Amino acid sequence: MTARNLEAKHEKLLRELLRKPDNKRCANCEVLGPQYVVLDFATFVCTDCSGAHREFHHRVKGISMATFKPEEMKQIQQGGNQEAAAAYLSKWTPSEVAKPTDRNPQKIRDWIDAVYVKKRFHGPKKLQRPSPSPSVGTLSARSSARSTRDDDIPTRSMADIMGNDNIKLQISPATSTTSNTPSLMDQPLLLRPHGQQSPLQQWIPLALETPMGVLRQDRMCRAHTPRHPRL
Amino acid sequence: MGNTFRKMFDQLFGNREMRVVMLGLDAAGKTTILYKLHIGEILSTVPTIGFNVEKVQYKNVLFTVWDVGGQEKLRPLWRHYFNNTDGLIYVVDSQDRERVQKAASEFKAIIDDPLMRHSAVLVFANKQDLKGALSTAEVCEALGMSSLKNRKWHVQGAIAIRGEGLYEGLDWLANTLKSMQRSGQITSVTAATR
Repeated sequence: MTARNLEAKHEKLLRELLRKPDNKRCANCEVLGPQYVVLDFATFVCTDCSGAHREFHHRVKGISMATFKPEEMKQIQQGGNQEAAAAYLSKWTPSEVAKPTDRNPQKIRDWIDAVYVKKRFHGPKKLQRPSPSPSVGTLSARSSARSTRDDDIPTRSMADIMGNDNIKLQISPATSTTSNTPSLMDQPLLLRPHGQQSPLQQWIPLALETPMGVLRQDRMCRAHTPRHPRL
Repeated sequence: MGNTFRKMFDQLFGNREMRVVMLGLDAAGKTTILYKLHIGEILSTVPTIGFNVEKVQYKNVLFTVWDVGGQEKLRPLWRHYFNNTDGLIYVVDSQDRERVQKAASEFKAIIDDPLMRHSAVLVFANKQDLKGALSTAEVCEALGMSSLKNRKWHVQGAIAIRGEGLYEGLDWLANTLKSMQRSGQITSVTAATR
């Protein structure tokens, strides 16, 4: 295979890897569309983070302006942001050190130092979380599509926030007084006189059904609220 | 008015302008060096796509320094910066032993280019502070400097993030180019225009 063909093949492969959900965002600051690879950890990162990694003498390559050796490609294919997070963020909890999602250069440096240099959260790779239901997949896809604009809502996995236990809404059948709505929705509806619920409030009981639903509701509310009212 | 005096002053005291191109493999420290020289600060840099250009005054020489991106696919563009260039600053990451041969072959391609055949060559053996870095002599050896014939060259150890060695290198470049030009030597080649 000629060098040019090999390059074209590598670039195609890299573009495919970039389409994987975990590689769509910078491994450090979660900004959309990383364009650099940190070879030391096989992570995909944004331009700012690539510069920060270089300060630590990590080997960084641009996806469009560098060429890759077959062994480097192999490493990248076996790695990726998900694999790197499984190892380097094994013991990490968002409450302990926040990801530098505000893209403050110093915070990015501190993050790289803690995660990759000092390896504070490094541990045995966590197994993949129990097979996520299809709705989780569509949810994360939708939320990332929505935050392509300036309202960049940090995303976290459901299980990180809620734990792996399902929350069940307990409804006592005895409280059911209205007849024209499903019993699941009754309890919260009782708090207001019948007929005055806004569409949003009617959503809430539905959202309480599963932890996924709660977050979906939360996300929808936030996305629909303009953060910067137009002047 | 001020400009006229300035010109006369420059002619009397030999204020000169030199065009310099700064090249080297990616992550060698070119952009860091450029901005350290230009504003005296260490900026947080990202991989250069394209080029940066700044004027750097050193003593009575005004250098126009072109810092061109060093990633693989940008290297074929380097030659477009050779026209009319008096000096080459070649930056080597002294710690990157793996790629020093690559740095050497790219270096050879530059200095063998007809447009660069008269230019003075300053090599910064950068990142001397890092553990396991090649010494200045080792960089000199790896780049095959001793086999250069009829060239003015200098290898300067440097630590760009502390600014060490940078002005020493610039000092050599300024003095060398001035003395070359004073003795009537050509330092740059202009590509034939059509």
